[in-house]
Amino acid sequence: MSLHPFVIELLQFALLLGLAPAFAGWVKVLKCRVQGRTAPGILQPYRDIRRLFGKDIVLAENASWLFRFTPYLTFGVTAIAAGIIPLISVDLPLSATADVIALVMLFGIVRFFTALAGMDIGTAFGGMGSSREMTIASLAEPAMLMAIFTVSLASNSTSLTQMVSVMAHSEFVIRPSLAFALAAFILIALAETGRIPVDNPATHLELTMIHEAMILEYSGRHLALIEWAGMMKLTLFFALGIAAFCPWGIATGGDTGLLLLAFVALSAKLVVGACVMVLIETGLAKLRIFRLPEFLGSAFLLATLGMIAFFILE
Amino acid sequence: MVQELFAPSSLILIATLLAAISGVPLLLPWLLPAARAQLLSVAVLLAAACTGLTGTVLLLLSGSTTLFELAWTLPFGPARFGVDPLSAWFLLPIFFISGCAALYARSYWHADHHCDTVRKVTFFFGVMTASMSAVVLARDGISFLFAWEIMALSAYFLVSAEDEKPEVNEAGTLYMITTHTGTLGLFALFPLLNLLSGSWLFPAPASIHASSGLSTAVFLAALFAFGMKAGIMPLHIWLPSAHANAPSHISAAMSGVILKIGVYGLIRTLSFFHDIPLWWGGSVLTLGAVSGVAGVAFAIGQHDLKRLLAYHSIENIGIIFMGLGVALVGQKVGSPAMMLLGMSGALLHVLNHATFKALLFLGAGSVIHATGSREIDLMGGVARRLPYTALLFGIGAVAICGLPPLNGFVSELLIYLGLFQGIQGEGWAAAAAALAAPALALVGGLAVACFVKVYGIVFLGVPRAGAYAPRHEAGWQMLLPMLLLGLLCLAIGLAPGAVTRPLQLVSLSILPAAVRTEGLPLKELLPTTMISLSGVLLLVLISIVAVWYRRRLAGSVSSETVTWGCGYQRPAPRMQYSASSFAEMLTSIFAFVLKPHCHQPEGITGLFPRTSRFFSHVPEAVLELVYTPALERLYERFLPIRRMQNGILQQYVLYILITLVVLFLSDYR
Repeated sequence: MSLHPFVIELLQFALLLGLAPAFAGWVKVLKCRVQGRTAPGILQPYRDIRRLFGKDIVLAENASWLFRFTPYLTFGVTAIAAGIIPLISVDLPLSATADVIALVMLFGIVRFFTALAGMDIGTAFGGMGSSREMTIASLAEPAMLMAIFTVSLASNSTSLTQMVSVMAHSEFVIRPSLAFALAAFILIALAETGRIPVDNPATHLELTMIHEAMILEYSGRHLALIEWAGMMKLTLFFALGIAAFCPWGIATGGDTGLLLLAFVALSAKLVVGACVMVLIETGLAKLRIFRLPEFLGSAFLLATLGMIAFFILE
Repeated sequence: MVQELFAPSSLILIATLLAAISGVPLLLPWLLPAARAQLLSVAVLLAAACTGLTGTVLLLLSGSTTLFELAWTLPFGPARFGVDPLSAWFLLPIFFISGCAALYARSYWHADHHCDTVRKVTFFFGVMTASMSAVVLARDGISFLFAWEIMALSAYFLVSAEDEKPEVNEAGTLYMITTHTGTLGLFALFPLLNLLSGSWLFPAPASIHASSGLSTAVFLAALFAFGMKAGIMPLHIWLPSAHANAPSHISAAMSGVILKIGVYGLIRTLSFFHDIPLWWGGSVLTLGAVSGVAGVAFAIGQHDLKRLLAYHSIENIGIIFMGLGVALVGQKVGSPAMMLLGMSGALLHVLNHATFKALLFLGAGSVIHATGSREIDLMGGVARRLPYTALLFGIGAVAICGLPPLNGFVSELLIYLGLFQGIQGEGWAAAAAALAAPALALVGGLAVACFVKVYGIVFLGVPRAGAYAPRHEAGWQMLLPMLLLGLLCLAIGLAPGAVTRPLQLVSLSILPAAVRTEGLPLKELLPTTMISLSGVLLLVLISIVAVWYRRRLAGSVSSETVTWGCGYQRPAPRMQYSASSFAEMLTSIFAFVLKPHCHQPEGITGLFPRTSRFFSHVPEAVLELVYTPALERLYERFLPIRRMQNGILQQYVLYILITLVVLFLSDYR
């Protein structure tokens, strides 16, 4: 049985919306296990979201429409990104929009408005968070682009679906350029999704928080949407990495069996990917914020090395 | 006859003449009261803008070229004017921005409030518009220089509109000096071109081989003269103070259009050559990357709203130069895709930057009108009192950051794709493109950071200083031009397919004949449907959320409370992050270029420290640390010669006489 592309598209939306909290929960469980703590259970994020949706909203006095609008925008744009990145199949109606540069810009919009919302309420914390987030993001962008260009050199296109199909149909060869690009991508993904060693999502300590400082004033369903979007973003970065570096197993058509297979492959890759991230997060301490330019600089260098490796070796 | 009058080229000529005389009613105070005369002037300029835009659009659709010749008794040959697709493309922002700025000025610079300067500002604004149009139409060196000088001088009178203020005077003088230093480059450029082609008329496109030493000299002269006008990085010193001190609608026109005339000059000069060597493209690309990164880095450190926007102009000119560099490199390595993408990216960014930068300057004007200050750190919470200005400024901010679904994204994507084409090539071209791509990404990232700062500090939060709390929303005459500019940003962003045809037409009219035959449509290179689709999707999503949200809001009750300040009970407005604190991390990263001044607080000791203050400031480092010391040394060296310049008029007449006699004698021999 073959599914219509639109059905696959909807399936992908549902998959990401539904599975992102479970993935975030899985990361949390793993982390607790590795650090010798009692895990809250993989379903805890669902319970958190439900609890937050049930709560009333408390707004800061100075909040304008922008503050109240941003959670919806964040959630919606992240969901659009979910429709663009090929998770289980390349055959998507939105695949025409799957340009990697456009994708980076979509995350840029989310960041722009989240940072503005942080400044909207007129507090030192919001401004501090926005300032730090924008500093990190602006330095991460060149590295991100360099890594993306290195990967797209192999497929001669910046279209994500094109990249995925070229990769999925080629034989498995270890390419030095891709290895460097992957290393750079991991560093950037840690920075972009606010994980250790760049930011600690579990802390609300004033002096160190970055992302949490921006969204400090959010409550109730606003917070639920932002948290949910954050989980989706984490999953999406994993999905992006999987699509760019090891898309094997992804379906090229709408065949149900193949889709099921692709889903299993994706889940397995996500499970393994989470283990890698948890090991990184547990093994490293959070960097001082003034050291972050060096961290992002090394990501940029790695990506550049990848590109040079492509020119010289491939 | 009637048909000829309505031909696109005639419409453009009529518009130029109308613009030139638009300020005349204000010069006849005995006929009309100033306010009425201003209204008439604005109406004439608007008519000129509409006529000119009609002609330009018709011309871009047909793609024809028309030439006019004027009999001329000077020994330089005839004066020739012409309209071709390249001119028409640059005429678009000239007429559109001038029209918007003129309407804006009716309320912003109203005759009743600025009775002593309104004549000067209105008259020279019309002259400037006409002369910019004339520069773009000129087809020989001498008419070009005439128009160029009129443009430069009228801009000087506009910059120094409020010349009773010392800083305005200083900015005007600096502008005057630099613009004439740039003109010196043009004085070198046209004779050299004359040597190459044997005529003062502009040579045909791609008619001169670029490898000779003379060609190199022409290129360097053009890069210097036009780079000065465009404000490319080491030559930008006049730009921040001139844009900051001019009235806001003048800043909009200067930043939106005059800088682009510099870009036009460079593109026009480059179009004369074929077989352009790699280092031409390489140097344009490098200059672009340096201007882009340094421009935005300087912008982040600013806390004067208009100075900040001025530095962003330098950044955007850098992006345009990068596109141009990509096209030139592509020409050398024989990649039509690179040429077309780079050139059309640069051209589209010319129009885009004109649109959103004018929008931002006009928005800044409304804010300054309402708060009475240009200092960002004194503002805050402006969006509450000026909701429409805030919305429109927000559109401009998203557009300049290159985020979808607005126009900045489209032109930057074109340049990105051009760079990507370059990376796939070989040798130096690939290396140059590979280095330029992250520079462009860094520019984009820093621009987003900078506009979060501007928008967050100015429009959001609460007013930082009571005396500068915003008082009133701008009137419709100020809002309408901003709305038009915002709509154009949105239109190009949502339907880039509409501009690909004219862009292709203009690009092909200046690229060498070799590429023209290949027939590579821009539409296949740029995923226009992708951009439209994702843009529309985004907008639909936003509007659905907005409607749903309004419905919900009607019924929902949410409690309000004091913003959480780490347990502090009574947070004060001054506890908010300021522009300097927002930028602190980035300025310290770029401190090796920016050289920020920091005044550290003193006397914070003991249990009861006395009152102290901290401030930091990012100066114009290139001017203060490079040019001024060098020029001072030069001044000391030449002090003996300065004795000739003693202020006695008779002696000056004597100098002129001596010069003339010497010239006569040398010719007689």
